[in-house]
Amino acid sequence: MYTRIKELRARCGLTQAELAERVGVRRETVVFLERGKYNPSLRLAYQISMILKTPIDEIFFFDDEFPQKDVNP
Amino acid sequence: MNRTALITLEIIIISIVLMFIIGTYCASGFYYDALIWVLLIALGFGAFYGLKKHNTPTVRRIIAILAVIALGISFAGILIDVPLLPATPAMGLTMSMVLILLHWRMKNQDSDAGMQDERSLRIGTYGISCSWYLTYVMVIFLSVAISFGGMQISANTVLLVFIIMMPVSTILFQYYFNKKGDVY
Repeated sequence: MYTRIKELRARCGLTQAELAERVGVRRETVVFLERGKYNPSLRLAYQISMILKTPIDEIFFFDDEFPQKDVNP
Repeated sequence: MNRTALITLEIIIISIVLMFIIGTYCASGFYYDALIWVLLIALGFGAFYGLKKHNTPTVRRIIAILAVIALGISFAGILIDVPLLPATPAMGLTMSMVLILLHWRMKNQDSDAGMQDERSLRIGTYGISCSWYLTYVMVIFLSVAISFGGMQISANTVLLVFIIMMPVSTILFQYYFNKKGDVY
């Protein structure tokens, strides 16, 4: 999974700790989310999309649909 | 380390101390040692709440040094086989465990390390589940080994294996999932 959380968070001027506090998770969880190593619950994904003011499908991408990671030869 | 792992570790330490107390009681009546162990544990928890306002690196360093000294006294007592009164090896070990736990909790007090979010809850649950499966496999292995392999093992040993294996494997699984990021 790939996410645009880091980019959108920077655009909103939020730090990892601030985003974590606003969605009620640990900062570590935001770190793993940004690295695409953690699959969030629908509730958490929704909360993040609300705070970043971006639809969920423009924040989270799965391996086969990430626009910039197209590995077709 | 997440809160579930921390609680598991505390349960292990309390279980070990309780085992000592019950063992002491069963073997030779209620010793003063047992009372001192209980007081040490109470002192540890009391110190944690008492030192909440004085949680500085210096205080934490002093606690860590005291833990090392207690551990050293304990090992010295074991090696030279002479009880170093009033700190006998078992008491030294108990005291060091209490101090290490105290140091650890104070270090994590102001961070969000103890916070339960969905990720740590998921990791905590999966860690316990994996430990349960491992225990189940171990039970099957022991059952087969004793029934068909002619393995000779006492009930005490089996109990000791499970007493140690269950909480330790839970912590290790939770640590692994925490480093990995998720349980999948």
